[in-house]
Amino acid sequence: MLQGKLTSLVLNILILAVVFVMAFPIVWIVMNSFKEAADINAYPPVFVFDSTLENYKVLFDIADAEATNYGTLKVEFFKPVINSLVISVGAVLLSLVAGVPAGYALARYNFRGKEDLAFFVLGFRFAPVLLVVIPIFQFFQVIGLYDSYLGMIWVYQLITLPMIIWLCRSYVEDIPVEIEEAAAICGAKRPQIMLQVVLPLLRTGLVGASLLVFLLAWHNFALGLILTADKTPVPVALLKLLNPGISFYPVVSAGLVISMIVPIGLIILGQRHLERGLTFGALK
Amino acid sequence: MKKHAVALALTAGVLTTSNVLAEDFDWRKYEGIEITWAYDIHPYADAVVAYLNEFEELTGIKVKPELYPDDTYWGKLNIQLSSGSTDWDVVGTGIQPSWDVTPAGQLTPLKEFLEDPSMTSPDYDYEDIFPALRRAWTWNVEEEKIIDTPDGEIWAIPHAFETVQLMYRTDILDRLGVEPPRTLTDLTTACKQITKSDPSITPMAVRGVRFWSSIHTAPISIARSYGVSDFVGSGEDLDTGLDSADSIRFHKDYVEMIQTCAPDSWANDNWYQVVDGLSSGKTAMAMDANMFGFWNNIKGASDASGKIAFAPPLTAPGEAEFASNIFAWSLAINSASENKGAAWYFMQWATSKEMNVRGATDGKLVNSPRTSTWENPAWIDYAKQPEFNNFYDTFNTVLAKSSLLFTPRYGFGTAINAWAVAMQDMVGGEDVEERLSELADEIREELE
Repeated sequence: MLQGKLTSLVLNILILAVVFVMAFPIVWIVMNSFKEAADINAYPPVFVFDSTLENYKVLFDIADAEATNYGTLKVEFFKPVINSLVISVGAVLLSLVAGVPAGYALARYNFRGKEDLAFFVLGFRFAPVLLVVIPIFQFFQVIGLYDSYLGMIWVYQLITLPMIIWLCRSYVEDIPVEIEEAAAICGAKRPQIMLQVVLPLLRTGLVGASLLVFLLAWHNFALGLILTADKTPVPVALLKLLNPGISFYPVVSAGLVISMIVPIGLIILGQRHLERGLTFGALK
Repeated sequence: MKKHAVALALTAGVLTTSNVLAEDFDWRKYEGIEITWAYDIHPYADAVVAYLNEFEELTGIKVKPELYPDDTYWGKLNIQLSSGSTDWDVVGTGIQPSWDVTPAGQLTPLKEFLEDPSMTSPDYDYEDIFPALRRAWTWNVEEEKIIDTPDGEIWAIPHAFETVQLMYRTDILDRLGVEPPRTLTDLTTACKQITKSDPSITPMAVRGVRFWSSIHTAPISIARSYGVSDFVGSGEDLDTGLDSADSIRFHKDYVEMIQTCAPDSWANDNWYQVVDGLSSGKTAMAMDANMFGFWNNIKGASDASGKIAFAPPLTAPGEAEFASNIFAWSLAINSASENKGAAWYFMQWATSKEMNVRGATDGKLVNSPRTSTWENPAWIDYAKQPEFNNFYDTFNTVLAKSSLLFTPRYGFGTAINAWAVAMQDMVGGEDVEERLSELADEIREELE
């Protein structure tokens, strides 16, 4: 009994330690976003300080950047947030449209070269993004997709599509084929089986998978850096806040907080699905 | 009194004439065109952005700034130029990296514009730019090689430049009773004294990342006073000087200095960390571009305001002569640009006398490349304010010994990046002599 309590106590302490290690950087960034430069640079670090919203005002151009000593460059952080939302959501939706049928086909049909094809799709994930981004840059310049939402959504398929296909394949394999056969015996055609039987069963897993790939898309840096000018996503816009002539840490911290709000909000909302998405199909 | 009156009259006459001539110049030739100007995110860019609306009113040319932070900017610039993209018209660049791009025809020669009175305003006065900077941007390209000649093509116009200096926190050194060092070995001794007196202070910060920018600040400047050159000889006889006896002596001292003085994060430190240490007071001294000290001295800019003083770069022991490398942020035209005329108009406006003085007195373009700015009373009054300590005088002292310390040649990036990697290895414990020999072999292989 005593040993059980002791084990539980040790485990709880370990959990607290892990939570502290994982949460501290986030808490620290949030605190910094409300600090003035002097408080951020203070040594030893200060935990109690006069908070300010000035960093957020600069970030969204509510304040005159000149007056806040952030230089004359306009930050306009709202625009990259919208860009990232459009690109990431668009990329996930396109991946679902293309990836679910592909995952289904890989799970249910046998055809020549099936495994090679599946591995080829996954191979996109192995290639370093910088290896492919330069030829894509040249290609986009020629066909006019450089710095466009359409081009970015298309190219983000390198990140999102393989994951959706492979996760979907795994989910479909988890659904007993007999359910589909039963629907067929009842007269359902293949599209009906897909839409009315398989998709509802996949829904939980697909929500989780979508959240997962959304996070991958949201945090991608290299593609946005090379392939955009105005349609800059959040990770690139964050880097643009580094200005050597000024103390940039407070405004960068505010930018980091904003960049975290969307994914953290989505994770909180879809935590249950995300967990299910990660484990769906894991047990046979 | 009479002399002054005559001088004033002459000045007034020149100004009036200039204004008349400037008005005669057709600034509206490219009205309605939109160009993209790419640059590093920098107060130097701020200095131009602040007045872009005036340029647009003057010329009718719309300028779209596209700005990226330092390392990222260089990567994106390479891709844009090498791919022949027409997106960027005017680009910010430096002399050294341009040795690698002009042989591939990626920049537009500018002599044609400068010598054409219908393209260059008569009051532009290119000769007003410091001769060393004009000379540094002049070379020819033949068979993918840089031919360094004073009669060569002009590839860019200096917008602002940086000299390498020692910057130190007066409050910290005064408190610890440490004198600003003059030589590299003095510095190592001073670091030991600082660490002994206050272990919470990092004695010295310099860049350490595996990129040529780490070498072009402190190492190349100090190395020159040891007699080190990146390359010796010329033409077919060009050879690296990095495995010479002087170089071995320099590197041994430099490696010891880093091991004694620099923070553990040195190998990952770029200018961000160097400046941050100095402005926050975590670091006592830094050797880097002088404007970082200036900007942090501006009233209200940071807690370091008024506490950063300047000194010439460190030298070899017993050597009185110092050397300071320069980096010139400059404006150039992408050779693939479809709006070269409008691009040149923007460049000449951004690098004009008027814009240089305005940028300087706004506290942004603090290292103007124009003689007229440094003689301008408004700038002298501004730069000599007490919070800037000895910035103005040190600039003038260092300027006399400032020059481009690298050898103009195609392959600059490859060789100097390799030097930065070798420096990390030596600081990490590899034998200095052996590692320099390997580095020299690597560079010689590239030369072949």
